[in-house]
Amino acid sequence: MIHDIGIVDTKKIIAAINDTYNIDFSGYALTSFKRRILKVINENNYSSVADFINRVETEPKLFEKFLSEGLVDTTEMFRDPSFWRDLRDVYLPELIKVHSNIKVLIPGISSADDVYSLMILLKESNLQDKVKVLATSLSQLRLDDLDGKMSYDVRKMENSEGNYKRFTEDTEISNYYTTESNKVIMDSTLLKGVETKKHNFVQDDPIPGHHLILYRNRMIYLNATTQDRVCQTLFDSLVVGGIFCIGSKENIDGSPISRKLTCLNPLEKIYKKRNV
Amino acid sequence: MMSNYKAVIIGGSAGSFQVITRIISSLPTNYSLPVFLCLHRLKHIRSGFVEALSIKSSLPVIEPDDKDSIKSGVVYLAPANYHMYIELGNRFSLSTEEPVNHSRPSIDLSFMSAAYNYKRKLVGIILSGANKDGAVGLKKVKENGGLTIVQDPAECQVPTMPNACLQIMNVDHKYSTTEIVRFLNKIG
Repeated sequence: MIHDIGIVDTKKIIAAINDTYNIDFSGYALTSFKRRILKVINENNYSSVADFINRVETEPKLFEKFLSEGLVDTTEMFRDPSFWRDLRDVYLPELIKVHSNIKVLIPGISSADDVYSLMILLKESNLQDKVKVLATSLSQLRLDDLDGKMSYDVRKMENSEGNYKRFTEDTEISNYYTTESNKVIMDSTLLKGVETKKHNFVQDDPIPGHHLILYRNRMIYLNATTQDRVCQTLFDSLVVGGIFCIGSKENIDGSPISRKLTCLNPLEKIYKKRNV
Repeated sequence: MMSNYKAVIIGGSAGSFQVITRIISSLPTNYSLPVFLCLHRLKHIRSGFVEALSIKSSLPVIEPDDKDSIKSGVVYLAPANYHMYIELGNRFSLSTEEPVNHSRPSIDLSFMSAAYNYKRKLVGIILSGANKDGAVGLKKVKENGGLTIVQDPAECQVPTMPNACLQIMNVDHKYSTTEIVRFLNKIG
């Protein structure tokens, strides 16, 4: 069991991954990144940082596993129910009124929670046919979750149930899953039509033409400089008049793109791309 | 006066509200250290807590946004449903990683990151609480050379948290609320 990783070792790990796979983690927030490495090292019983580096460098499959396990399993479904209500009642209807068909981007997913939340919302609003969703991730394994059966620990479902009750009283979230022993298995037909793409918004180009971007509680895992760069790439992925959503405690006030966005909802951190 | 310390971090549960308000209401407006509060609280209630603390505090009380800079003389409350880390470069960062000890914010995680960054310049205080979260974090403060304090369990409504600390480490001081207040006023 390794209890802590120093800065020097963290930098070595980042350099080894960058050299071997061309994925640069140097712009990630240090504390949470270190925690994720420690988790993977200890859960897989690697004897040392050097052991971990050696295996990651020589075993691409193991690196894929690291990407999948090492990305933060970020959230619960319908986290901040008031956000999802506002999206359903105000911002999606406004977008639909203008565009009739809309494209949604969910960048950098580390779990399928936000995708499921959105797809449930769309189904309940009868908007499935009008909305196309693209989910991206660094990790192919995480994207594969969206093709197959997504299962949850029953305990983890309790949070999502509580959130969903605050989101709507009209139906039960249990309509969307079945239970097998201690696992909840989400109804994968909800994800019909969701496209996936392996993509790294920290390094890769924008994917233009989107009307809505859900980027909630992803930026917190990046340092301030990298946040600004990613925000620019996402901004360039958004059409004029498009909606940009970040987490309730994330902040883009100091970022260059903030001058080109109008804040529609300061509490839920919902922004609109201005025509400039 | 000049102090050896650069920051104070306090952990407890929502049940230590009265102790917390006694502590922060006693600090002078020109207090020279930042004070971090990591308290167990309801996940889905985002507002109200900081407002309630502000009424009693002579210092500004803020729930930091991700990557906010840390300033002296400000009380920072870990926001609901996020872990709060102290990062190198004198900034916060927040996280939605899985709960630790059923808690998000987790006192252990906040204390560990603060211990790592402030080393011996940190004072860590654990108050009344119904969960062992915080014990491992306080131990890290000590291992990094910081000063460790628990609220005297005899005075606590729910002493599980300070007792968990006393079980796994040699805590520097076991203080009553009055003694904690006196100490904090002396160092900042």
